[in-house]
Amino acid sequence: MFDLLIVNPFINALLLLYSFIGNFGVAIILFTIIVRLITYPIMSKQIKSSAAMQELMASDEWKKIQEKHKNEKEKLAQEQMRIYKEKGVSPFSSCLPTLIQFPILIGFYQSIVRAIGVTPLQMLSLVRGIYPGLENITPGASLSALIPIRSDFLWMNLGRPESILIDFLPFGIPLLAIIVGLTTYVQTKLTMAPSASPNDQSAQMNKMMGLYMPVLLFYFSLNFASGLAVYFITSNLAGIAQYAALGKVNWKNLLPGKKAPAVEKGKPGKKG
Amino acid sequence: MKLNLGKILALASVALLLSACSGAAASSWPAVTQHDGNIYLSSGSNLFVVNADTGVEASIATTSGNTPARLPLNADGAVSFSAPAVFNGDDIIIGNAATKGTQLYAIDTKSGVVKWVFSEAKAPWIAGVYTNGSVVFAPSGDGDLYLLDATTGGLVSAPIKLSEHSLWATPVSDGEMIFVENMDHEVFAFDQKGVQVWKTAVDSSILGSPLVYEGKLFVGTLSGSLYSLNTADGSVNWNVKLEGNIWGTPAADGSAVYVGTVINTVGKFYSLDINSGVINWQKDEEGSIIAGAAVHEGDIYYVTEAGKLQVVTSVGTPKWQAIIENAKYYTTPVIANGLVITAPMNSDYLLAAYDLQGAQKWTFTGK
Repeated sequence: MFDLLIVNPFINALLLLYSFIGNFGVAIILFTIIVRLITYPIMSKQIKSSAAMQELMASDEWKKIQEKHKNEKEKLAQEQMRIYKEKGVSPFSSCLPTLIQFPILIGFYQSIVRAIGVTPLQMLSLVRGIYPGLENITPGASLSALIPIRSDFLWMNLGRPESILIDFLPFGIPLLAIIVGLTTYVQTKLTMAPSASPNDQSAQMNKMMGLYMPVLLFYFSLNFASGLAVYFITSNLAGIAQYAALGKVNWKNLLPGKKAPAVEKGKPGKKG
Repeated sequence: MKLNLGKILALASVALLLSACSGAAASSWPAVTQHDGNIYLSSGSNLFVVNADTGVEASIATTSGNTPARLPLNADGAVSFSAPAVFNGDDIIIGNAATKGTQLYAIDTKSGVVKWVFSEAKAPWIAGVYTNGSVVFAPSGDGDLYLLDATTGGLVSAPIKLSEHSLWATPVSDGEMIFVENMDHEVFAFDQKGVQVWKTAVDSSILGSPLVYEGKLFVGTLSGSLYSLNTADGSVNWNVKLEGNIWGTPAADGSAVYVGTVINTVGKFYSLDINSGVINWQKDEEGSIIAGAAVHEGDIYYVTEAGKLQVVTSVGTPKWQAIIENAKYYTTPVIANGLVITAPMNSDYLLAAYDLQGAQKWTFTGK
């Protein structure tokens, strides 16, 4: 079902782009941007929900119930739910869109690996996944024209983990994985929403995401097909651009020693 | 309840991504070779040696006692084997197909130790090699054909760039020339010194090894075309477009050539006139036919992805079949010592042997 709904459509879209462009790396970049544009409404909603949550948590009413019921967890939870209802805010509305992106991420990874077809089993899966009508759109999308896909892009083979070998070093430098780690860190920092208090749940979550995600994506880029790293980098840069377009980027967060400023009471956490 | 959302998201992403990647562990399918009464099974991290008559795993005497003959006994690093074992005297020459594997090994079958390792390739070894006893012709996943000294594993000449893509097809020889294919729609013939004699273009990628038979070279392509080429000059005798994609090596007897196809998840098995390419007969199968067929005493043995071993006469009359539930066949069956030996995937068995009347004689689990 996952293949039917996500992986195969992704593979065919990638192949169609590739048949026009002739470069699989560029096809990945273009496809990532297209996916980012399609999911823009979801991301936009996520940002707005996040801002509403921050505003709510900075309100006097919220702080009061925190203080009042600090020793009664059950009561506190009930009161929080009441406020959520009254204000029309869902505590999960900001993370649901993020979760929706995971199937896309996994689907994208599988699409890239299968489309490149570096092993016989992947090639078999690729051949089976190509829509029969694809070559009717363009002759360049016929099976004989598509396979094998040229997996070289710049200095890398998109189907294999990337590293640059330097004569005097006994190991390769995983340049792409480093760029993935850096761009993920920068994106997380830049798009970190301001918090009402550095100790609140949201701030802790942001802090952890800021630490985990760059390490996690660095690890994936180090070990999996470099086509995935190209996707990560493009996605990170596109994400920063989208946040910037919405005026939600906190450039000051990049400065050393600077922390995301606390939200002022009763105001949304918008920063230029 | 305090929700640690960051951790949940991070762990969820790890779990989901890893589960999505777990299917990549097996990159190819096993290969089976027979030699001196033994079956050599290249499967995952082992090259098993099994007695063809009994299915009992062979053993090797070491200083610490007898140990199962899973070659090599002293592999360096992660190994994965999927190419057929190729013999040079008592040595097996086989490459590492693991994702980061670049080693080509010569393994002494008597001691189980690695005699030499060639590590200059830049990608895993999906294809098997060909050796004439002095030179090893080794097509690599990096698109180069390496010519190595069979005794030392040293390069005898500069690598020959045949493609920017991986070379997956094991070379074959008619004793005079060596035939190598790439995925860029090309078939090459080299002399025994590695000098290119001819090159012929076909209509699509070639994934399986060719068959060389009585002065003809039979090549199947991903577009479903079966070519008959003249081994002397590469000229096309005939080519026929079949339904589906051809993955396996064709098989032949004196009058017909046999090949199976992949039509998404189903398949067809064809018999064609060896001289004209006219289709003699064809059979629909519920499973794709990815492996090549075996021909023995007038009967044709082929396997399907639906876990079926099918035996038919040369005129297409079914004789018997054996099915292993839920298994998938990708490996060409081997006829040895009066038994047909198959290597199912997705099964409890690594090998299953049947007599020529269809009775199962033994199975090998590798445990």
